[in-house]
Order: sequence, then structure tokens, then C-alpha cells
Amino acid sequence: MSMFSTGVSALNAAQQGIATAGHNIANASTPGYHRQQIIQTAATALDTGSGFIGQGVQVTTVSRQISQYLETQLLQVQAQSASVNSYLQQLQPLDDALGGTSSATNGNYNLSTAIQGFFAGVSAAANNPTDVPSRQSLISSANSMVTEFQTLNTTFEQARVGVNTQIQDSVSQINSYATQLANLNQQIILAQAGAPPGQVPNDLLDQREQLTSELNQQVGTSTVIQSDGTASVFFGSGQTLVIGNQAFSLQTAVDATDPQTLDVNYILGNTKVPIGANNITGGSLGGLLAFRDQTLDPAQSALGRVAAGLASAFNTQHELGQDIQGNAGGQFFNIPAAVAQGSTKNVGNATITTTVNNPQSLTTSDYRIDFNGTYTITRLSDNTVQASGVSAATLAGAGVDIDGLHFQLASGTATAGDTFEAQPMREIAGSLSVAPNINTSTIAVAAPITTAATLGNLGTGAISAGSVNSPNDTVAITFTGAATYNVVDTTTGATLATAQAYTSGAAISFNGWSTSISGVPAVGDAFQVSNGATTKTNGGSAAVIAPATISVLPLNANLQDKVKVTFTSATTFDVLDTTTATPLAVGVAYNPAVGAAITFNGWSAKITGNPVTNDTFNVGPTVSGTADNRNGLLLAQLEATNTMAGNTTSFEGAYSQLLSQVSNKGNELNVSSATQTQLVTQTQAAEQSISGVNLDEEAAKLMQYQQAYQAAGKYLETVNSLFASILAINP
Amino acid sequence: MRISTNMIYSQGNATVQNQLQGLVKVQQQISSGIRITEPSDDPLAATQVVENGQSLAATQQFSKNGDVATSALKAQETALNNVSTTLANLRSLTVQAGDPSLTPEARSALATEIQGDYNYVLGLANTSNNGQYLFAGAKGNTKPFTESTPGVVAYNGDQGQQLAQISASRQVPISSAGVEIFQRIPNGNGTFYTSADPAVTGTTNLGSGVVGPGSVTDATLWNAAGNTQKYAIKFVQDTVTQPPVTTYDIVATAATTINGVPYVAGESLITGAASVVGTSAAGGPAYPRVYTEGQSIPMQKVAGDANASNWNLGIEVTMSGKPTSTSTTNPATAVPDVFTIQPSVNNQDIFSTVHALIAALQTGSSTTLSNTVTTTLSNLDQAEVSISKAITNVGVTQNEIDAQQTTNSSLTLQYQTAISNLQSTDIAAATTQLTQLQANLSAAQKSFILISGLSLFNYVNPSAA
Repeated sequence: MSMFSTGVSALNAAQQGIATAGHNIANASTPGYHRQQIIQTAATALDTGSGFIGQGVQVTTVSRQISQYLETQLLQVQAQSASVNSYLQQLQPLDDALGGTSSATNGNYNLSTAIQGFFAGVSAAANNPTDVPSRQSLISSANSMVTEFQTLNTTFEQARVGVNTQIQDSVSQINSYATQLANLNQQIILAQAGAPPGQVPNDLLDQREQLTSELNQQVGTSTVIQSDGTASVFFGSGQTLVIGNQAFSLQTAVDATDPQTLDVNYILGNTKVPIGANNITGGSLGGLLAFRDQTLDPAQSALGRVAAGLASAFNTQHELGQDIQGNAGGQFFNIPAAVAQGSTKNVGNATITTTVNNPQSLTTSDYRIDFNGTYTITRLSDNTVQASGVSAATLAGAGVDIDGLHFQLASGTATAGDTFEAQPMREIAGSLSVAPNINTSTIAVAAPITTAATLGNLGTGAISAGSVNSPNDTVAITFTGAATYNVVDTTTGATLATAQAYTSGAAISFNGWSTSISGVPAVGDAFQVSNGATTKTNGGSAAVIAPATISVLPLNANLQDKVKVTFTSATTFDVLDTTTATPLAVGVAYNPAVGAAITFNGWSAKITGNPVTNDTFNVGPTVSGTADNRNGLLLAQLEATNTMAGNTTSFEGAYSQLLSQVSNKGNELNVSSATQTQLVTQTQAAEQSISGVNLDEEAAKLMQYQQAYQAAGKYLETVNSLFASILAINP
Repeated sequence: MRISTNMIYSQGNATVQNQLQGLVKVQQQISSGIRITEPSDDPLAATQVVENGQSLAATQQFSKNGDVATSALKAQETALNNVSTTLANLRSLTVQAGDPSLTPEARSALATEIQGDYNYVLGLANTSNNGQYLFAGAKGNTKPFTESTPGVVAYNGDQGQQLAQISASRQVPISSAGVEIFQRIPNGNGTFYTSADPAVTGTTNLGSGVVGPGSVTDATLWNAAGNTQKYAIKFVQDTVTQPPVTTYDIVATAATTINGVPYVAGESLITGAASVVGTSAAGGPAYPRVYTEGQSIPMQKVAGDANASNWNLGIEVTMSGKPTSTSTTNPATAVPDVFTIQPSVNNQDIFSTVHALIAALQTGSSTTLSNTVTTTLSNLDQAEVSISKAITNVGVTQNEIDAQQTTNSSLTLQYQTAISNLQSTDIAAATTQLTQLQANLSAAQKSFILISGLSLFNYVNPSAA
């Protein structure tokens, strides 16, 4: 009988082989499917006196063709690739927006062009100061530039909204995958419970691996297969997502100190544990968070910094000028104060604002303000404390100046433990506007003071056009003793002060800026304030100069007083403020060979030539309706002046840094996206070479098993005929 | 290596996609002419394009400013050249006015002609360009010169200048303070001026004496320390003596020091003592030196002077006509005709100078007219100097602008070339690349079709077995 059973076993094995090949062909395109193969072994042989006689074949199991090593590797590269691609996908709109449409002859990068257009408008107004259309063109170009800033900022805002939407999508996908994985774990346990030992539900395992792979494309996870066959999934800094048939879930929540930012929370029972963005790596969620933290926030702040720096520097110079009606220039741009976000957990009701007071010191960083009886302000880019022990009274009164920003407690009181986060630059590009009272007659193109030599002067003395002392002037502070210093405006050549008494840390204010020197200065120590940047130009480190703050307002109250310079001899002159009838200087020595730079009431001018006794020079207010364009020229010069980033770059330079930052990241991501895609392809090819279905192969197998089946049938026919021939013997 | 059927399809698809992406990019580059379609294509070049673009825009702005400046300066130059021509005409008319044989009608006609020139110069001084007055200093929209009453021209501008930025570091003036050109002109000969200056204010000299504008013979002496440069030449006529004799004295009108010797006001340089009208041998009024008509008055010690000091003022003054005194017989009551010498001041106004001549032509005595003609001629000379100086200044500025414009043009070209090099598509290379990608795509498509058509199932025929 064993001959029959041998034949039947062969028929069965061939049938199973054909069924498995058919299963493979059917699932050739099923994602996550691993090709299956029957494992045949010879049946236990029959021990006879003439040796072991074969008993046919048996199929021990159907096995999946799989390399666990390649599967793990594939998961990793897929997670990485998904992360890079989602980062790149988010970055591309920014890259496009910053690049804008280029033209062949001119570097037409939209914002850059808008800034150039604005300063062309300034030049137009300076060239034709009394021409209303020229002045209107300045306002129009300013509005275009502001619109361009807003448009770019909108792109950033849209990216932020997009990131938040996708974070929510991603989190809900992750939750869904986690639940499905837990269900599959349950099904696998059940399937295995009914199966003989050692047999595994191949197709369920395939489904689970496919789910794991899809989960990994949302967030990087690690999977551990437990002894009961279930898979435990971990992510972040080791949080469990799936264990056995139980799934945990994630939730998005608005950040306590940044309402525009979504945090990812891990729900553990009744508590929500926030997971730091730096702990979530891989997958599109990892890419989104990396994009937001590494590119979007700094880039938007960098854009804000260009806007704030330009507007603030322009305002400062504009305030030093005079409009066509004879009034002092006001603020040209309206830069709204940024409000530091109080944490939603705050108990107190304090409101803290930040305003720009020195464009050159601005950074793109955010700041955290903690209150613990006193305020501590920390710069977040490098996590260093910038001010500590600041009392509420100080913050509400004088405020605190850090990195070109003025922190002010605007209202309310804080409770210990309250915390705030200031994003001073983030919103500025979006909220910048041309001040509402700016019109063709309020543009300050003229300088507020005018000089004149009296017509009856007998000598050849002349007086320069004069200028208002500006914070942009370079000023040298030189110590003539350990406790005295002189202050000279090297731009105009005028001596601002001599033999000033030094007090460590005391405020030193000239030309609209304010700084302080502390420590122990030595004779010859020299400091410089230029464009708001403070540097030590000579001497050791025993004395240091603090960063400057700039506020030209209020201008010197006597700026527009009528001042008369009278030469009492060819080599001496007196200066009299005729408006207040106050002598400003008496018997000042004059050297005709070098002339004299004089500064009074906040202006500077230079007298040259050979005046004679009784020659007089007058300095007084510029009359209204003038075509004087001195301030207009100074405003136009700001375009090429390095007023940003510690006076190292211009407005467009700062924009080009932003462009470089974003486009370099884009370039890097393009390259790594290509690399990652290549890696995924290679790994997939390797994985598929083991696990993928090849239809030719299956066709061959079909033929093989078909022939095996036919052969087994032939065998059975043979055995049958053997029996028949025996049965045919009729004794 | 085993190949799975899926891989054949997915890789075939991926290859075709890649080739298509490349094709679209090259097509974009060719159609737009820009190689960098997104900044991330070449971040370094993109930022360099921005930086060069900024320099380019600034340079182009400087060029525009230079054009504005050139237009204003050309208008100034034209106006000033016309003023200069008119002054030359005025000068010849003034010389005609000095002709003593002129009839009152001819004088009146001359006055009318001069008035015409006067009005023309006034119009030129109010020249505007693009609505900006060019000679109003910085008050470009204020008419700089207005005539309230005939001959009194007020300056309404200021002494500022409108400037144009023609390079990063250079601003040039494109307007002028008209007062400096038209109204603050040195009078006299530019160093000192002479005038008939009666001893009693409100009267006129009695004689027909006319003082010339004088000239400087030795600037060192004239400008020597202590010389206050204020002197008077006083004349008395003695008709007791026959034929009548005119004598004169040179008097310091302010305390001064010459050749180290101090003089107080009223002291005679000739005698070294207080200047008083002396008595001649015949009993008439007399001064130390004898005057001969048309003679140059030596402003230095000559033989016979009582003053021991070897004084010398370093100037020369000529007199013509016949000065006289109130009494020609009584030294005690003889008030001399006085001519003064004073340092030039920058207060000559072209308009009042010309107007004075017109007035003298219309109403003045012939002596007044002669004196006015003399003054006018020297004043017109000084005015001409002032206008020439202004023309020179404009020319120098224009030259500077021209040089800067040349620089600006070459800089513009340089920046444009740099930008083009950085971001323009190399059409030849891009077209080659396009063709290559096209061939690649076509090959990928064909080979994919070929490979996907291969299947063992094509040959499996179950019924054959």
C-alpha cells in the first residue's frame, strides 16, 4: 500500500506547489507581499530488511522568502527618505518665493528688486525734492516694497499653516497605523494559537510588515518581535506605540508659548507628555518638524530682520530730516511692537513687548523670558542668558536692551514661574507698513538746519552746508586719563565733548545713541561707535563698551535755534544762540590753515577760509518749501551702507544671506533626496531579489509542478497496472 | 541577482520619470534663458546674482543721478554764458555812455538799451530747469531774484546747494547760490575800490574830478600787516595864486601802520602829521602836493615830502578832471573834494551796478556820469570775473560727472556681464543636453517595452503538455 501512498504524497506536494505558485502569481503586485515557497522533505523511510525504502514526499511548511536584515534596512532608508522628501516638499515654495522670477539682464529676485526699487524712489525724490510726482514715486515704491515683504511673509505663514495641517494628518495616520498594528498582532496570536507549532501565518505577517513600513514613512520607529509573535513598536525617545494588542496614541496640541506652533503629545493614560521635536526623527513627521525648527522659524525671522533693520534705519535718518512744510520728519515706516507670548500656563497677566532700537545688533533668534521674582531673558539660538535679575520695576520703567531690541513690560504683573517667548522678528515682515501720515508733503528730504555766510562779510571765510549729528556718524571715545575721556565725531571732525568724567557703567549718549563703558580704562584706550556698532579700537580688555541703543528722538530741543558765529579777530570767534540769547562759546581759537569743525545744539558744520573781524556766519532752521535734498541723499545712501548684522552687510546683503540659507538647504536636500531615493531603490531591489515575485520563475515552477503531478499520476498508473497484473493471475 | 517582475516595472517607471524631469528642467532653462530656475539649483550663484544685482541697480541709479545733474548743469552753463555775453555788451554800452559828446536823447536811448540788458540778466538769474530754479541755492522752488523797486533786487534763495549723488562716495552740486554769482561780487578793482566821497555826507564833490579804479603795484605792501587799507585823497584849489593851483593830501581814514610807522585817523601820510588845509604863499588853501590833471597819484613817499618814513602803499590811483574845494581863497573855510580808497568788499550787485548807470544816464550830471561810468566799468570787470568763475565751477563739475558716467557705464556692463555669466543658460550646452536627454528617454522607453514584453507565459501552453 505504501506505493500508493507514495504516489499520493507526490500528487499532494505537486498540488501544493501549484497552489503556492498561483498564490505568488496572484500577489505579484500586492504591496508588502513576500513570495512563498513550499518546503518539501522526503517522508520517513520504511525500515526493511533490504534497507530503508522511501515513503514519498511531505510538505513541511510554506515559508516566506525574506531577509530580516534587508527588511530592517529598508524600513530605515524609507523613513529617512520620507523625512528628506517631506522637508524638501515644504522648502520648495520658500525657495521659489525667495527666488521669484528672474530676468536675464538683472538679478531680479523679487524682494531684492523691491528694495532696489524703493531706494530708486528715494533717489528720485532726492533728485527732484519739490516735484510732487517724484515724491509720490517714493511712497509708491515704499508701498511696493512693503507689499513684497508681506507677500514673502505670507508664503512663510502658508508654509507654517501647511506644516501644522500635515502634522495633524501625520499624527492621525500614525494613530491609525498603531491601531491596525495592534489588531494584526491580535489576529496573529489567534492564528498561531490554532496552528501546529512552527507554522506561521505568512500573509498576516506580510500585512503587519507593510503597515510597519507605512508607519515608518510617517515617523521613524523601531520594532521588536516578541516571543509570542507580536511586534512591539517604539518611537521618539523610546515611547511605546504598540505593544501586543494594545495601541497608544499621539495628539497634537498648541504650544504653550507659541500659538502658531503645534506640539506632538504622547497620551499615557490621563496625562499628555510633550515629545520634543528633536526626539522625533525620520518619516514625514520628522521632516516637517525639522523644516519648521531648522528652516521656517529662522528664515521667517531673517526676513523679519531685513524688514525691521531697513525700516528702523530708514526711520532714524528720516527723523533727522525736515519735510516740505518745515516740520521735523516723523517715522516713515510703522514697525509694530512685537508682543512676547505668555505661556498658556501663566498665572500672572504681564504683557511684554519688544521694539527695535538698533538695526545692526538684531539677530534672528527668539528669546525666552522667565519670571521668578525677577526676570531672566535667554536668547534661544545659543541658549545663553542675556539678562538676569531684572526687577519688574526696571522692565516696566527703563526696560532692558538686548541685541538691538528693547524689552518692555507693557502692562500687568507676572507671577513666579510665568514664562514668555518672544519672537521679535517673526511677524515684522508681515506687519510692516508705511506710516499713515506719510504723504508727498511729509517726506523729510531736507535737512533741518541751513547755514549761511552774512552777505556783508569782508573775509573769504565760508561755512559748510552743515548736518544734523547722526547716530550713523563715526564717533571716537578716547581716554586721556584713567577717569577722563574725550569724544570726537570723526565723520564731521567736530569735538563733541572733552574731559568727561568717567564712571564705570554710566550711560554715554551722543548723536542719538546711548552706550556705556565699564571696567578700568587706561590712558589711550579708545572706543568707537559707528552706525550703532560699538567696538574697542585700542587698549587691553580691562575696559569694555556695551552695545549701543539708538533713538534720535527727541532731537536736540535747540536744534533749530538761530545761531550766530561772530569772528572777534581773524583767529577767534564767538558763538551765540540768538533765539535764546545764550552764548554757546566765547573766544574759540580759529586756525585759517585747517578751518574749524563746530558742533552746537545737535548740528555740525565746518568753517574754512580767512574770515576777518566782525564777519559772521548764521546757522538756523531750514525754511519750508525748500528744494534742499541733503537728508534725501543720506536716506538714499542707506542702501549701500552696512547697517545689518554688526555693520557687516547691507539690507540686500541680509536678504541674500536669507536666500543663501534657504537655497543651500534646498540644494542639500535635493542632493540627499536623490541619494535617499537611490538608497531606497537599491535596498528595495535587494529586498525584492529575495522576496519579490518573478512571473517567469513562477511559470517555470508551474511547469515543474505540473510535470511532477503528471509523473506522479504516471507512477500511480504504473502501480495500478502492477496490482492489476497480479490480480489478473487466476490461480 | 534575482529580478522580481515588480522591479522591472517600478524601475522602468522611475527611469522614464527621471529623464522627463531632466527634460522639463532643460526646457525651462532654454525657454527662459536662465540657468538657475530655483535658487537651490546653485545657491552660491543665486546669492552672487543678488549682490551683483544690488551693485548694478545702485550704479544705474548713479547714472540716472548723473543725467539729472548734467541736465541742471547744462542749463546753468547756458544761462551763465548768456550772462557773460550780455555783460560784454553792457561793457561796450558803458564805454559809449562815457562819451561826453552824447546828447540827452542819445543818453536816453542808451539807457533804454541798457535797461533791456538789465532785464535779460535778471531773467537769466531766474533760470529754471525742470521747475527748479538753478540759482536759488537749495530753495529750488523759490524765484531767487525779485525786483521790488527799480534797481533793488532781493535774493530769496539761500546759500545752500542741491546735490546729486553720482557715485557711492561723491556728491556734486547741481544748483548754485545765485547771491554768490550775481550779488556778492568784489567791487572796485577787486582789491580796493575808489569813490568820490564828499567830506560832508549828502553833498557832492564840487569839482569835476574823477577818480580811476586804481591798480595794485605791489600786493605785498598793500597787504602788509597793520595796513588797514582805508585812505582818502583830499583836494583843495587855490585861485589866489594865478594860474590856480590844485593841491592834495593823502590821509589815513582809520588808524594804520605803514612801513612800521603808526598813523592815527586823520593823519597825513605825506607830512606824517595831522592833515590840515595849509596856506599857500599867496594866501589861498593848500595841501602838501601839487596836482596835475590826468596825473597818477603816487601812493608813496616822493621827494619833497615832509614825512621822513619811506612809506609805500603798493597801489596806484589816477585822477582826471578838476577837483576843487568849497573855498578857493580862504584856507580856513576850504572844505576839500574827497576821494576815498577802501578794500573791496563782496557787495557789488550786478543789478544795482547797472541800475546806477541807467540812473546816471537818465538824470545825472556829466561828472556823476563819468564817475559812474568808471565805477561801472571796473564793477562789470569784476562781475565778468565772478561769472567766469561760476562757469568754470560748472565746467569742472560737469567734467567730473562725465568721467564718473564713463566709469558708471563700464561698471554697469561689468555687473551685467557678471550676472549673465552667473545665471544665463549656455544655449549650446543646454541644447546638446536636451538632445541627449531626449535620446536617453527614447531609449529607456523602448527598452522598457522590450523587457516588459518578455514573459515565459508567452510560451507556456498547458494543452501542449
